[in-house]
Order: sequence, then C-alpha cells, then structure tokens
Amino acid sequence: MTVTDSSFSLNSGLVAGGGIGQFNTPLSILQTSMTSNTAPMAGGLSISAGPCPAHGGYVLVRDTTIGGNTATGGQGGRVDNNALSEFINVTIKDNTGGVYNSGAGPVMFAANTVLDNPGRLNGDGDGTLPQYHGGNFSDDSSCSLKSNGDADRAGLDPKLRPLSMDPTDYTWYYLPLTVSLLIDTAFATRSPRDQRGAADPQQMRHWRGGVWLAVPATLGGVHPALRSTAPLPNLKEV
Amino acid sequence: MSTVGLGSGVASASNGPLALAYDGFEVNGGRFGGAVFVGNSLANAAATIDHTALIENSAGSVGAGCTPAATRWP
Repeated sequence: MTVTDSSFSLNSGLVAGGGIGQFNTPLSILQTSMTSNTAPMAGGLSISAGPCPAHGGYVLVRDTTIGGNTATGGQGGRVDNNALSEFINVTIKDNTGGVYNSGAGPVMFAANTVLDNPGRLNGDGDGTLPQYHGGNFSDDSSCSLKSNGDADRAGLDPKLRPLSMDPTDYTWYYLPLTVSLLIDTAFATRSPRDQRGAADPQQMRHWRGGVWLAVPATLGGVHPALRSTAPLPNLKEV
Repeated sequence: MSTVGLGSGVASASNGPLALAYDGFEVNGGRFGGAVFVGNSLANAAATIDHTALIENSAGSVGAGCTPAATRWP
C-alpha cells in the first residue's frame, strides 16, 4: 500500500494507530502528515508484524511529518514500531513521545529524522535500538544516536516554526527557522524533494526533517546556509 | 459519514486493489480502519491513497484513519 501527499488529522483509535495502523503488509508513506491523532498506543502511526518483526512487510516513511499526536494509555507512543521499517527525512514533533521500538533484532532504520518532543522520551521501547544511518536529530539523549552527523543532547532545539498547512495538498509540516540547526546538515541519504514537493535548492544536501526552508521568490536566491560547500558538520562536536 | 463493524467507513476493499486520489474522508467509524481498511488475508494489501485527507475518523480497534493489514488484527 502506498500513501502519498495525504493528511491524517484528528482521527482516534480505541487501541492503536490513531492515524494509521499497519499490520504485516508492505507500506510506503510519502510526503504525508499525521497530526493531532489519538489512541491509547501509537497516537500517530502503528507499525506491526507477526509473529516476529521480519515476517511483516517493509515499511518506508519518507518526507513526512508526524506531529501533535497523543497516546493516551500505558505504552506511550506516537510511532510504535515492531516491524521492518525505515524513516528518512521525517519530523516527529510535539507528540507524547517519539518512537517506541520493540522486537528482536534491528527492526528500524532512520536517517535525517528529527525527534523533538519536549518533556517526553524520543527513544523508548523494550531496549531494541533502531539503526541510525546519520543525520538524525533528537532533543534528548534517549535515542543513543551514534552515526555520522547525528545530534542528540538534552535541550537541543531544532528551532522549528509552529505547525503549518500546505494549501496545495493540505498536509501539515514544521518549517525550520533560518537559524535552525537542521539547515544544511542532512546526511548522505536524502530526498530529492521535501514533503511539499519543493526541490532541493542545491541538489547536494539539505536539512533534516520532512520540510526544508521555504525561500521567498523575492529574495531571488537561497538562504546563505544552503550555499555552503563546507563539509557536513557533526553537531556532536559543535 | 458512515459506520460499520469490521472494515471501514466509506471505503473498504477486502483484498484490494483500491485507488483513492483527491478524496476526503471525514467522520467515519469502523472497528479497523475508521476511514479506509485494506487487506484481510493477502500478504500484500494493494492500494494507493494520493492527495487525500482523512479527518476525524474513529476506529473501535486499530487504525482510525487507515488500516493496511495482511491478516486480521489479533
């Protein structure tokens, strides 16, 4: 199943998966938003497979925003993962937590993904850690980020604007401020366009998360950070 | 608005394929997949959802907006 340029908002489930609840089938979620959904587990997205994580289909979440979702019950969750999944250029913000990961073996991969859920754990679960492919950002150290370009530190602020809606496809996103640490720090695995369909101005590198900075046409150019040709900074060393 | 038991509200495809484009699903209810349920017994739930808004749907169990599933939820 493929979901593209779509919006899941204000939905509510009585068990899990307020926005989307997947089980044992391949799923691609591209340029889509899941916002303000509610469920006892996995307020935004539930990914599951059985009898073990490898038995389900591969789940790809790319250039997508998961924001403001609420898990009302025990196992906290905005994204609950118990399957083979990959998150690339995804923003997970202002939910009642980040990712709840469980299952035997490395079941989740993430790159250029932003986790900003103040006061909640970004990385939670049964102790099974995702594999990180670089360029991830977390406002706490619960994800054990160790790849190149990863940044995780208590109090780290990605400096994102409030949730906004794209008037063309009605998906929701968090736009980075011009001073955002996310700008020009994406790692090798990146997308040719962001959630709104905007092309990478440099075609070389862009920021983490689902959406990169909009450039007003009147400026006739791009933000200076985008013009940088300097090596990718490792925010752990900044 | 629609409410059914197992499956979904407005759009339901027991085994797919299903294609939705430039649609909207609002205030539907179902046990699985409040708005859209695809799957049941096949290993690959064949469906596409493109430029579609799923708002204020509810599920008695899993996947209030959408449930792609290869087997019935445990």
